[in-house]
Amino acid sequence: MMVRKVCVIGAGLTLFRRRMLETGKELSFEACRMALDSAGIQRKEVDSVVMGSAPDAFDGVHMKGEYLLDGAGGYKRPYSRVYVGGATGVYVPVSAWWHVASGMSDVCLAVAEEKMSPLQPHPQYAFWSIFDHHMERPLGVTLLWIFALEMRRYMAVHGIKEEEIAQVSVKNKHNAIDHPCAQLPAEITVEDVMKSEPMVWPVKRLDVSPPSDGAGAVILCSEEFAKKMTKEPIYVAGCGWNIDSTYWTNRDLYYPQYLENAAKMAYKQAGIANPRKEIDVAEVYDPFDYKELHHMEGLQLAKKGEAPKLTTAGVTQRNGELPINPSGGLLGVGNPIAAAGMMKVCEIYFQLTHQAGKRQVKKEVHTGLAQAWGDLMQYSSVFVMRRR
Amino acid sequence: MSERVKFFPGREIRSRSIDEVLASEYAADLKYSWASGAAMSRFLIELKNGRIIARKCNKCKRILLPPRIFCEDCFRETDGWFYVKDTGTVNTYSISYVAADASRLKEPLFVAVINIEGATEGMGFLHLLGEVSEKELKVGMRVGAVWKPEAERIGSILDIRYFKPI
Amino acid sequence: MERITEGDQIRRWNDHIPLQWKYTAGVAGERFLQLLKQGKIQASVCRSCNKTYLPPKIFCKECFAQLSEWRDVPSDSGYVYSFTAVNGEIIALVKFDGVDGGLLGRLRKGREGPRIGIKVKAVFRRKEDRKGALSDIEYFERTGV
Ligand SMILES: [Zn+2]
Ligand SMILES: [Zn+2]
Repeated sequence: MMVRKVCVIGAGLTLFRRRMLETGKELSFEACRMALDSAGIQRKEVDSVVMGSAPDAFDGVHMKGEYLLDGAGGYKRPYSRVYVGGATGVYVPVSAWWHVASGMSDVCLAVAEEKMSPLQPHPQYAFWSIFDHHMERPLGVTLLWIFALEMRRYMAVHGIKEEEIAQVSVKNKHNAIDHPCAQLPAEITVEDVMKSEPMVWPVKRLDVSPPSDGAGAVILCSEEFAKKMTKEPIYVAGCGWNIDSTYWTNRDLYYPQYLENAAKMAYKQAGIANPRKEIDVAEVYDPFDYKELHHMEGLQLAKKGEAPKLTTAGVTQRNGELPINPSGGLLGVGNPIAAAGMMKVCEIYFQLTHQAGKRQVKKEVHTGLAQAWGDLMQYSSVFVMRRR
Repeated sequence: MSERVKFFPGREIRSRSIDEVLASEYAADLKYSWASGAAMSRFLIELKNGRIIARKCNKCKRILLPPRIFCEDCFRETDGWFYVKDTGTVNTYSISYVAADASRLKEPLFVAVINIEGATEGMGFLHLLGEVSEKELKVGMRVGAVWKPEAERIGSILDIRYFKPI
Repeated sequence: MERITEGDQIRRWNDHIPLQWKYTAGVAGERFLQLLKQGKIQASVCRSCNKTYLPPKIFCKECFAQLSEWRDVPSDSGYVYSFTAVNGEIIALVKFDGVDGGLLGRLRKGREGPRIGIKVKAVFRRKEDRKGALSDIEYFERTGV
């Protein structure tokens, strides 16, 4: 591919909370300001801006991209909003990548925001209208059904127990204790998860990440620009994205084939032949505990049905051989949809630059991966970063 | 964190203090009339007749359900109609204790993706399960449609009340 | 695909999407509206760009600096930037001398019709009727010529 090398030189993140005083514009501004400060640059050096945010229904503002513009730093710049549902947060830096890789921009600000709290009585309600109005809505469908059905299928095909899946929630909420932005850090046990209120069995209250308000941002730039700013730039090694059919009841729910496709696209670009050996740390999308396992398998970080075993063996702990979600993930840090994916990109940047503090994984890290998932549960975006 | 960044910004509003800040409230009730389209119109009419109809693609040889006028894989127009059975197997199921607005349901609902017999393996749709106890629920169980009486059918997915074990 | 020619072969599905929202005013909005409740209009200031934002923002959209400086905008320093008539009421975009942005509000009808450029002042509701909303300004009215 005839593309320029692209680097990441800064990251910013607001607190993730159930409800924030800041408006969406203000949240976006705070994340962007922090990212610019951490990169040591000003807005005047930013050539273009990519903004990401999930359905307009949460913020309750139509044309949200346009609404957020000023706070996102896009005023009088080439600016666009990208949207691929829950996968948006990782798709934003993918989109920023081609702004820079193509040579169109030297510096591109990538920002993701979500303010879910305005929607009453509960943000979940916005999801009802993503389903087919003829086949599904008349049945009284809720968003949780699709997850519960997928989780059940995954369990049935591999003979996985709910307790094995619950370990992910325990790990991630524990990891989140060290994250300054975290909304739901906690020391819990597998038993706590098992005893928590059933929502749509097998999904229970503690299997699920919370709705949140928050924003995150990263700065992408050309290698030349990065070398002026830092001695140790972090490189974008690979990007991938892929989507399966909207006829979701026709899909194999036990395995995310679309993610395998997205991951292979990113690995090819990154020259990764054996992801299990070559990825040192990964932030995989975990709005539900089973999704971390599902996604590890799609990313080829575990064989089909093997992810629960790796979790039980402690491989995915921060001090493990393959740390997964050292940030605390969506389960612990919170799930402001698009911003949650961006939080993962920020975490990999913090890990690769040794800025993760208490969250820093034990092993030496060179290559890290962030992944998100969304739309009608069939879109995946993958972003691989590398320290030289 | 980097030396340049000292703190993570944001001001939380705890749920008990929401009334202490100035907030404005709005409500919208958006009304829609969705055209069912060519494939779905026929599907709904057939439901009214007590039958399930699919489309077939002569290139990949799949029997597509829900029916569509195009094959998303071959990306060509599908070739014809094909009646499938009103029986199938449970691909996966779950038990819903919550409604769409996250409130609790009085009675839990059994929901399932059902692979319909006669359609290509793995082709099916979402529906409810009835006349079955929680203990009897199983992936792979055979089920059949329980139809509303003909006079009550309107051309809706709800013309099938639910599927029950057979 | 055969063409549908009979009207009764076409189906539709009717439904509705009821949604409700509760919006926080935000960091700048909260302070701005609390001040309105006290009968004061304030704007936030970026000295390096020589900009004064009304409604106030916590950031300068030009240089992207965090803004902490606010200043009073005299409630009688407004002028009609543009106006329109809606259901028999005059709605004006009122700007203020030396301030970027402006406020939307009702313009009280005077003996003469509204004109672009006329000087106006903000007339607040009675203190006990104010809610911390833009409607705390009941209307704008023309000041002495
Ligand atoms: Zn085909
Ligand atoms: Zn400025």
